[in-house]
Amino acid sequence: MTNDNNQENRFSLDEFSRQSEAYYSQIKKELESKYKGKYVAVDFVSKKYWLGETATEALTQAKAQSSPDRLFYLLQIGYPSSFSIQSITSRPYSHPKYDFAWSH
Amino acid sequence: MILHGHIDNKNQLWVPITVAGNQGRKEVTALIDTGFTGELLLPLHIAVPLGLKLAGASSCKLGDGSISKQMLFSASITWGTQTRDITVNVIDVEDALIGGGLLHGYVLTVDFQQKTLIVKEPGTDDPEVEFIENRP
Repeated sequence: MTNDNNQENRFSLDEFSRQSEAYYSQIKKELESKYKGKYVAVDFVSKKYWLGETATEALTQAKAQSSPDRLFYLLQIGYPSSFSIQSITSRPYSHPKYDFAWSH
Repeated sequence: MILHGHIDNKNQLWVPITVAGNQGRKEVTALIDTGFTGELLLPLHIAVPLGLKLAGASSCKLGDGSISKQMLFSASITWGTQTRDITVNVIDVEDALIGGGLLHGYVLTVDFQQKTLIVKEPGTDDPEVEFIENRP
C-alpha cells in the first residue's frame, strides 16, 4: 500500500482520528441539522469538509478539490461510526509487518 | 451488468470481483455480508501486495458494540462487466467482505433451493433468462 503524502506533520492513526473528530465536533451541530445520513470527509488541518451520498463520493470530492495525496477522516453525519461490521468483534490486532506513515 | 456468484454448503454467498491497486490486480471471491455497511473489506494479506492508495481513516462499529479505527484505501474493482472506484476497509481478517454499500443500487437475487445467486443492475436482462423466455 502506498502513501504519497509528503507533508511534514505526521500522526499516528489514533492521533489523526482524535484531531479529526475534534474538528468535526465544531461543525457537527450544523451538519447534523442539514445533512443527517450523508457522508463527510474532513480535513482538520485546513478546516474544510466535503459531503457525499456515499463514502466514496465524499472522499472523491475531497481529493478532487484538495489534493489526491491528502488524507481525510470519514464520518457519517448523525451516526457514532461511519461503518458497521456485525460479523467481526474487537480483538487485539496489530499490523506488525506493515507500518503506515500517516502524513498530513 | 449481471454477475453470477455461488452459495456454498454453509449457505454463505460468494461473489467474484477483481480488485486493482497501484501495484497489481487480483481476482478475489468475496463473501456478501449484509451486516457490513461499507463497500468492500479486504484482508491485509490481499490488500498490501496490490498497493492500494491510502485515502484516510474512519470509525467502524463492530459486532460487540465496540468502535474500531480503521484505515481506508482507494481501489478500482471490476465485477461483472462494470469497473468502478470504491473505498476499501482493510483489517487483519481471513475473508474479503462485500457490504451493503457496494450492493446499493443493484438487485441481489438469492435462491437457496436452486443454489443460485445473481447480482444485477436494475433493468439489465439476464441473457440466459431472455433466451429461454424468447425461445419458440
